[in-house]
Amino acid sequence: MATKAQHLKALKAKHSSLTRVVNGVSETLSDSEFNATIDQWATNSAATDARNELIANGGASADYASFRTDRMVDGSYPSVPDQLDMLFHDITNGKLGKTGSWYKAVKATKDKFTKPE
Amino acid sequence: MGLTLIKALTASGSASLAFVDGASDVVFDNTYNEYQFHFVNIHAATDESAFGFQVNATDDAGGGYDTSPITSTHFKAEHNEAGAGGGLGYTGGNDQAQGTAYQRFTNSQQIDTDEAFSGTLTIYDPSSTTYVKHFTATGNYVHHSGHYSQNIFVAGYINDTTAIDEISFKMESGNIDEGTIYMYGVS
Repeated sequence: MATKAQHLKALKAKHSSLTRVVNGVSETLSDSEFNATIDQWATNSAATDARNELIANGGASADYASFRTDRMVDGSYPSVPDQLDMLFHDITNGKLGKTGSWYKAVKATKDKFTKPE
Repeated sequence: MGLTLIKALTASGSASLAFVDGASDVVFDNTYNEYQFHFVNIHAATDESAFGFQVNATDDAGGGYDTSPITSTHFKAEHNEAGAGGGLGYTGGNDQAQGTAYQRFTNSQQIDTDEAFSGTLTIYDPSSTTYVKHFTATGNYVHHSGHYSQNIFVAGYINDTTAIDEISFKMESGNIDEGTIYMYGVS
């Protein structure tokens, strides 16, 4: 996982200048605009790295609720149809408690993405 | 309904693309009550980045696209190339509540050479000095996580009763590698 400082260094090595297109005209960003843009990119890339680290290994995050519910996130809650199917089988098997598949699946997500204390 | 092409902008390793009223034949005022922006193959230079837009109001001409508050919603339908993951989902990380950041269309775009984002954005009555500015957008892109087709639905309003006449599009990280945005007036 790269830090913001590492991203900054890499981005400045990659880009000596940046351009934007306004109404079809290409303009070079001023020094202050260049630095602000590179800083923003580094901040966002570091945040992406941190998010990926959480998705891979779990942990506490203020965004724990979105991690738990975003189905693109590995380890998020199963889909509602899948949860209902788990409940059906748990009831059928007399396991509507902490040993049931639904409880275990939901608990696994809650345990992976935790609320900060 | 008729569409009048106002301007097409093509990215080529560009940090941002912007349409500004009053220059180079661009109108973004009361000439039309409705404007559409069509995105064709917006390809990001940086993996897992997000593509979005923000505006400047007329009292912030030439500003940094960072003062207009947006309240929005964002949901998606998705399905991957392995035939799995079909479903609908609200994406709380992509909405805003009076936020001034660029409003995301996508997030975590995949950047394989054949993968990009295409879609449309409609903004209604941008020159109104009475009403907030509503917008709706939809499109499709390839999500980084396992080659998902992700069909996005974004809507909201720019909570500003000052006219808006400048709009900017960019990735949250890195350049827009390639892609074209067509601006239309709707009559």
